[in-house]
Amino acid sequence: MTRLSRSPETTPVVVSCCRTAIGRSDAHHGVFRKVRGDELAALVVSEAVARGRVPPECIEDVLVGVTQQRAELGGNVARTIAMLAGVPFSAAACTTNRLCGSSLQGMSQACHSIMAGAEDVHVVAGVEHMQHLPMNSEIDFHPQAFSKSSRAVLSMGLTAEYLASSRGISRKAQEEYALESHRRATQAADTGFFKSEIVECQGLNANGVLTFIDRDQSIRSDANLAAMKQLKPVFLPKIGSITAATSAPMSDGAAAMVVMSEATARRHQIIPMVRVLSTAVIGVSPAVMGMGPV
Amino acid sequence: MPEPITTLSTLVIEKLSGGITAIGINVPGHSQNVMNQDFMEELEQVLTFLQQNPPRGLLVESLRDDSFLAGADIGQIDTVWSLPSARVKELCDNGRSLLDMFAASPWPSVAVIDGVCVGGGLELALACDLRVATENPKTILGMPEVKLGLLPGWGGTVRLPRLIGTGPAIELIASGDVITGSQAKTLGLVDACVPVHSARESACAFIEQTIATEDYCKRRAELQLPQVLDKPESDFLLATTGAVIVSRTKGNYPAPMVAFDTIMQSATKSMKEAAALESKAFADLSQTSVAKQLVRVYRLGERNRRDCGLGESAQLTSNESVHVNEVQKPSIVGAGIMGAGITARHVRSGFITKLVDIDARTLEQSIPAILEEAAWDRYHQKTNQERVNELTGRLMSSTQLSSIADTEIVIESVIERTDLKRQVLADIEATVSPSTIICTNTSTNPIATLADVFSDPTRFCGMHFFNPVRQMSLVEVICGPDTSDSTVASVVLHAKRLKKVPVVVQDSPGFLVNRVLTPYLHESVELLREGVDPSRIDKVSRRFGMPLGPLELYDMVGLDTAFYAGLVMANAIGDRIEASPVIPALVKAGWLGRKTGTGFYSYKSTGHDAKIESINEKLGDLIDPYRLAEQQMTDEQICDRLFLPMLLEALLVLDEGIVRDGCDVDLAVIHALGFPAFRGGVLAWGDSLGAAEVVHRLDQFSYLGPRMTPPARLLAHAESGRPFALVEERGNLLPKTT
Repeated sequence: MTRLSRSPETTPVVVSCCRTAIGRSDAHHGVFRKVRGDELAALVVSEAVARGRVPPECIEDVLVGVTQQRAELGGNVARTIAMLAGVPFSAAACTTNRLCGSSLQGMSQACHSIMAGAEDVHVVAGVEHMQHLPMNSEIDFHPQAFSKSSRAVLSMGLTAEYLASSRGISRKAQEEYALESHRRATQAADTGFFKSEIVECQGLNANGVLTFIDRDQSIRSDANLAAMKQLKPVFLPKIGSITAATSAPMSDGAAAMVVMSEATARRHQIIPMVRVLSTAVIGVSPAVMGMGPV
Repeated sequence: MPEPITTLSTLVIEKLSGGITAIGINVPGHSQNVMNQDFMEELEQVLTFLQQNPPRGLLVESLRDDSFLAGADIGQIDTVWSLPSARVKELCDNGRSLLDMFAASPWPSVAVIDGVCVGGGLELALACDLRVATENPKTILGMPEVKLGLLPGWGGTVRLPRLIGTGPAIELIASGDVITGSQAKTLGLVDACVPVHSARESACAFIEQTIATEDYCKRRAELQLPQVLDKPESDFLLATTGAVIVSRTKGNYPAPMVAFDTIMQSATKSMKEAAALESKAFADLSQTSVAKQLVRVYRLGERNRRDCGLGESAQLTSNESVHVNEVQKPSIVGAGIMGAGITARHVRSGFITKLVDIDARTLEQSIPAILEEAAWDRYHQKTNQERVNELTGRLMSSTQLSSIADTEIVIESVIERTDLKRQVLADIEATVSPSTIICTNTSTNPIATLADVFSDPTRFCGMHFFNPVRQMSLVEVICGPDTSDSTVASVVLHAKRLKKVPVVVQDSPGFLVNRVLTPYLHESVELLREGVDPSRIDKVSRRFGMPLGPLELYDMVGLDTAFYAGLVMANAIGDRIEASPVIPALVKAGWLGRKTGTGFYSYKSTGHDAKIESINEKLGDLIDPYRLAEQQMTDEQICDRLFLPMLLEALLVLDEGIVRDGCDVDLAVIHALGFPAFRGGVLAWGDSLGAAEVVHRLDQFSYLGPRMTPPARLLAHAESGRPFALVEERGNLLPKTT
């Protein structure tokens, strides 16, 4: 769907955003191993509202993207998070799920609402705690869904291997890309690039000492090609090209933003950061799910 | 009740109200309904009858409990091996045509699947328009042909992908797994899964509905269509499923890959082309030795299931002297690794089990592990916590031997010290009733050295479980000098109730399994001394099909344990096979294998699950004082060096009458050592070479002395051309229990 809004009343803008640092999902070393997912989300929701300088009474809906909606992120956890964050009860709440695109879906939904002239001021957030809520546990996939595909499409790693081989992306190319990614992230973190977006959050360091976490745990400043070359393929033993160094890590963290119409932002004298002009979704073959976000 | 209108020897035709006809399957002379010659001929007759008396709808059901219809009669399959490929194709085509005719009948049909429905039985069910399965736990569906080295040959690879999709069909056929009625419903393999009592009524309701809507005509047309996958899905399936099958079969079992290739090709083609591909693939597989060996191994298992464990002479009838007891109230004495494993197996099999250990701490530590193992959910690969709660009440533990006074069988499993075992066994006999059976779990103590503590040694025998008990299905039941037939038969039955494979052996050093294992392990160390690289030795063994190479196995068992076992074996084989000096040297160096993190290999950690890091770097220095003249050898020669001594030892075991026949040796090495089933066991492997060829191959190793000298039995076989291990039925089948 492409739609160009012309009126400030129906043009969505982002007015504030923030996130926690990203912790590793590790029961022994993860900085957020003792912090609940809903708490991470509540922290960034209240901070985004504060940064947005919008009166909390104006908030109409809180949309939180969550992929594993159970246990501490179970029920309509967006409502729990809103209440923890001190958002007034008059704001509604809805938990969204499109797996990797869950909070982006919340964002789209907020924009659609503004474009349609329905709700105006939204908080959009997303949270994931892959250590407390591992992927795919307690899920019972219907086997007939795979009658025109295969069960192996459930393994993102295998679909990635398939993409790598069918598009000729070599292991070397992947490793160079990963290295560059770590190098840039390290540089950005060292020069304070992330300072404005990261909200300090209480956590534990590797020794179990209470620490205020303000740096992403998954950035490897010591990444190097020689060490990467030693690693074994994770998803396709021996013949695969993807290793721990070139896979997305399991992470714990949360992010939030405030979205409203351009007209409302003006009324509150808030300077927008981003204007949303259109949104769109499309499906791809399960075997090439990695192409989805590209 | 309506009267049957026609009764054939395997099928009964019955007219129900509303113009519905039911055909009931009842194949006599088999524990399951099978598709033997009679059945296939009569199915054709029934079809003719139906054409003359067309019903509105047809029900296909079984007249027996818990068995809908299994596949072809395995008893008749040997005739297939000798047929030329073209004739095998024809057999497939004939069977499939009959089912195709059945499927093309003008009336709608529904299969009522209550009980086992596998192989050809499922192919018949697939030829029906609808399938209703029951919730009976005995109801299982699947196409296990690949487990016999074959694939479905009567339309299974044609119809299944069109019904449930290419990927799911490949999964079911290439794994050979069976599923329950409710899983089949989820998969779309059956149209409903209902309680047993309502199965027929539900099937009739289905028929009426499909007649009314003419839905079956539409479905028939749809199911003729090829299954076309999107290009990326098809490529992805090829890449991923292919890789899974290769990693599971390691290239040794061709059937799953052939099934996979056949379905990938045929799913996108017409029914007719798909059928031709299936017949060709089946015919090709029927010519492989793997299929022959797997069918033989299947038969060994079946024979073992019916065997009561006694020699041909014993008479087993209810009023004779041999009493076979189905024992209740088992007790295990000793809560170490073996005792805990044996206890867990009992609890898992539903026994209320007592566990005694003199040490309260040992008991305390073993109980959680026992319950977790007993409640292990193999499907989900984790402990089922609810099951732990249910099983907790079945396990009683005590530090007092007096608590087992009312037990009917005791399995003593304290540590392998003869004096301690003797003491404990004497105490047990003093505690329990005179009719209680007493077993010892031992791998090294001859039964005779323990039996003399008993005032009644007839009730005593060895019951040797293998470590880890949860994985290794073999149990050696060892007869002591005075063990009675009743005791042997009762212990054999007890092992079967634990879902183990019991093999009866006579008392002798190492019994059966460790006896044939020793020369193989010994040879691997000799090869090391001759300068062969350790990882090469293990690689050759694994390529042969063993789950672990011999040096890896040494490290897993523990070098100290292997050393002591070797001392015991010296009595039996010392004149031919000298104990290697390398093993004691390793023990002296403190390199005990995985448990210390160093053995022939260095490990990343210590303990049972430790993973190999590299070859132990200092191994060369340790071996140096014991080097032999270096030999240049091919992989084939290394392989023969490892496995021919095992074969020779097995022949000596037969000579000494330690087992009843060669089939028991093959069954034992498969279930205790993981000897590759596709080779049929060590004797079957020898048979595949032929005795004369074995003699010929031994010739090149004559410089190694007595351990490579052909024994008389081998020469006799080479002379006569008779195989070492033919599967023959035994006279004594499992009797009714008293």
